[in-house]
Amino acid sequence: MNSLKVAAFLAFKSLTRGDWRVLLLTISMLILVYLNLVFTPALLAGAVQNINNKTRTTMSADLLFQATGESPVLFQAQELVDAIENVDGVAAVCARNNLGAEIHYESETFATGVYAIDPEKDDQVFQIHEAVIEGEPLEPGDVGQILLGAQVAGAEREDLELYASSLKTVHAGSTVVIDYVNGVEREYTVKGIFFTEFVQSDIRAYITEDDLHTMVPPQLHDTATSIYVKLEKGVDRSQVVNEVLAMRSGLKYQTWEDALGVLKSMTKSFDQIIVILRVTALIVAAITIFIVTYVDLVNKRRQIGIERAIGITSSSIVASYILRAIIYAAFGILAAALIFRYIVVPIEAQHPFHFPFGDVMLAVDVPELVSSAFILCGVAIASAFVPAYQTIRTKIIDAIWSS
Amino acid sequence: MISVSNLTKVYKLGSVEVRALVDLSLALEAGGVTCVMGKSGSGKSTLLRQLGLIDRPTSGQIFFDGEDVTRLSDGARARMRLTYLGYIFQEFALLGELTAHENVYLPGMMLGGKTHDHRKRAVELLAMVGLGERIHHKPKELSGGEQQRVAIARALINNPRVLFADEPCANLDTISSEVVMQTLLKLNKELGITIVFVSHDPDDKKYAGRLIYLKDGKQVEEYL
Repeated sequence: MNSLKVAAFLAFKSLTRGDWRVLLLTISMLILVYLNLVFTPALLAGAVQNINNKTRTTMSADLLFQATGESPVLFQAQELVDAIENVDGVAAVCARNNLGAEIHYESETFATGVYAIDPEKDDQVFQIHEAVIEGEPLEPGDVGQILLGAQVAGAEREDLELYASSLKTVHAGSTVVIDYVNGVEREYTVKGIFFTEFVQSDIRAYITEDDLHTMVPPQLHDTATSIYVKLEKGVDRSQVVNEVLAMRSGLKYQTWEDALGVLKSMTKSFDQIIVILRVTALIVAAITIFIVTYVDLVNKRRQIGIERAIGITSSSIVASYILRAIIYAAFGILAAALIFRYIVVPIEAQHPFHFPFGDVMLAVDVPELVSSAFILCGVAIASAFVPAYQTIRTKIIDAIWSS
Repeated sequence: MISVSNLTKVYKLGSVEVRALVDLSLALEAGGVTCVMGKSGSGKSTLLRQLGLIDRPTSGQIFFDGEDVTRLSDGARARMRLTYLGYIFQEFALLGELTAHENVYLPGMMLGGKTHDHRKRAVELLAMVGLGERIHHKPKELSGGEQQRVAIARALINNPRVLFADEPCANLDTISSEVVMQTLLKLNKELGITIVFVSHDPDDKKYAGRLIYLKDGKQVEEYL
């Protein structure tokens, strides 16, 4: 107890009476270390979140069901949609028919998937309609009208990633010709252009299922190539899957993670990079704190020798340096956390980094910030302990008279 | 009270061995004022550091009240320094970030008890060494003589039985030296503290009741 009291006394006096410039520099370094520890992982986590979110809200929903077997078509689709809507935990359901097609405009051609949708139900599952940047979203009953992704239309936006291979100058109101793989050729007026800032989504085109019905025989009206399910928050996904699979044979399912496709390996790599960056940042933090403590200890070697000579125990002296390191770390972390939360995050939100999958915001994960803070404190303690322990192992006379 | 038997201290400076103390044996009685003299390199400071438990001898034994303290652990030696001994360094050796008052009561805190009591006693001790008005000054704001008197007050905070002073006046002017030495004599006379001090100044003989003269790490003369 006395040791701790003396340690606290020495640490407090050293902090309050020592060189304030050194104190400021040390805390500033810790602020930078902590910001370094949280910034890039938060950015990558934001990118991962963005990819996941865009995948769910524009492409795959939470779950998608398809037919097994040779035919990719699900029959009595409406009956299945209605049944899935009644499953506990299901927020919304929609069916889509994917039609392979080539879209022509003047001399440009773009091969893509055209999806026939029920706009009302689709809007409940996906957010495509919220991303319309020209014209209007589709409505039930629209025939001869098409909604194009920005990467398909081009829309004279040369900054688009796929502008070179797009239709380049198509705008809302333009007329395009579509050659479906079944040989049907149709002319469409572009009702709207959407831009989700997610390349995989923005290369798609949408027509209404009413339009599809004008192209296929009546026995193919109640079909779908995929049924998309949006779940309520916190729902046990596997339970929903089991209930849906039990409704009908010949169904297979994909989760939104499965639907990530090539992005899955990218997000996995991002997660690995986050771990590597965190470890690297912690090593940098450890070395920084070690150097600060070591330099301080070298300068105070004689003082430590005197303290030991007058009877202050080694444990008190080591504890005083550990306490100082904790205080440095606490102030550094607190200041850095405030800077990160109230300065860095808002500024980044106003000027976000742009990726092919959209603007990326920093993902503030509070438990992650707290764990980083504790890890940094631990690193600070270890970095203070090692040189302090080495110093108190020096002979008193060497500490006092060799300085 | 304190005795040493066949005390030898060898310093290794690279491949060279320097025998600072050679087979030294002596005894110090309680309540006396002893001056250890000798030329530079004679081993007087080395002897004081062994007696003050700041360094460990290469061989030989040190006894306090008949108890062999030579091989005590670092923790036990720290405890002895805290409770039994006071040590005054030639270079004052105060902690620069602390005031005179804090420098004095810090070792008291290590012993335990109420900090308030140590603070109060530190004020009394500083007053006793004539620094009652300067307790809140930091070492750099004090003269050499004043710093040495703060060091004396600090050495007294835990009521030591023996006070070791390693050339306490080496860095002081004549007037300050006289004040410091008179302070030590006063402590011996009024509190009965055993004083052992090192000096190279022949004039300092006058303060001592006993003089030990060292040469090449050996005791060559003794005057009572």
